[in-house]
Amino acid sequence: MPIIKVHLFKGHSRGVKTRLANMLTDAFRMIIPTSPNAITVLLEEFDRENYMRGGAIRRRQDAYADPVTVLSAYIKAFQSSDFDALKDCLTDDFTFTMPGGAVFGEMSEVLEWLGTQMPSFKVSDRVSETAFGERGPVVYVRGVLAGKRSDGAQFENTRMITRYEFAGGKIASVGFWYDLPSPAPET
Amino acid sequence: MPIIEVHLFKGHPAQVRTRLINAMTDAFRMVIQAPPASITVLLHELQQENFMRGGAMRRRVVALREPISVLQDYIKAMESRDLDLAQKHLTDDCQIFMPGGEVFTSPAIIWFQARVRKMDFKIIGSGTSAGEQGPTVLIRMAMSGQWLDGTPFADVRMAAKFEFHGNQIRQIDMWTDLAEHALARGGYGVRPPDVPDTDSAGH
Repeated sequence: MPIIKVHLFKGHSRGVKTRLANMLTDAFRMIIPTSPNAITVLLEEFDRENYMRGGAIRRRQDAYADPVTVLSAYIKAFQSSDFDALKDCLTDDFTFTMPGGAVFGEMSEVLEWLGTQMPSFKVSDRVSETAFGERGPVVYVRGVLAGKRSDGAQFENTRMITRYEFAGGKIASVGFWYDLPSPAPET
Repeated sequence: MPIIEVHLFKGHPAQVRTRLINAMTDAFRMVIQAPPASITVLLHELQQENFMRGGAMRRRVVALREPISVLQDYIKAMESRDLDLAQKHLTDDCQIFMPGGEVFTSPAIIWFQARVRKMDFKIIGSGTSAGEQGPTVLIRMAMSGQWLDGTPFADVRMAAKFEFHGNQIRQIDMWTDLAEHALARGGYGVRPPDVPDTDSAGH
């Protein structure tokens, strides 16, 4: 137990069905602590003409793009400053909030800001988690930063976390935190 | 469409079943563009004796508390400086990773006391994922309060990740813009000698 059986329209790809089965398994586990091995998911697919509600045949809804795939494309475009590719990953009203609270709506502003704080950097030990957010999936990426600050000082082992909020299969907002300034307390 | 049927053991309270129905609905919506009104969830409750796997009867597992409510209790205990109560929400081996790389094994009140005199926290939003040993909750908060010299501050962003083991927190990772704001004003200030430690605290 449990057995989760989903009746849905035929036509989704194997990848979408795998994501769906994993998502339902995790949804159950978040409430009732159960070994994943004890959770059975059955997907039963119907032809469209075999389902009617309110006297009307319904159409199949498309799946969202996998947020992890979108995020990979975004990071690749970010690293190569490919603004056209970046735009494909972002909603029209996307925002990016920086440490300290500055909010930008254009990726060129984001890159400019980063250039003023840490002209060169790399992220290692990336770990991502997808959470159920209020508007859709939220992906958190944690990692460790190393690089050079604007004053030329080197830094390493700096913790960071970035929060990517998705809406309609695209990134709607990004929040970024890091430990870079770390002034010592005076007392 | 879709119709999601969940077969589970009888005995979970109505509140748990409601959470489960909402979670099934949200899980589907995370993958496929279906409006909530089109998603039907049916729970079929079975007597324990009507299910067997591997030749053995299985028992019903008690549901976890809603993790966000555990977090709220933890923060409330911290704000009222009831550290014994706050500690009860942490596992014995809990680790708390604070900005700057400091690690604590008990509520990190000292970290805050070194930086601010007073603070309050408001949860802006949260997301939950299924971790290895229990849910992982990631929250965004806005922090307000007073610097050590008594100057007020507000709207300092924070992000925190709480990993649960059962109904207790086993690891906290926290990030905050406090240092950026301190840098912008020239430091955390100096606590006057006659002013005690934080008036209220939490994280």
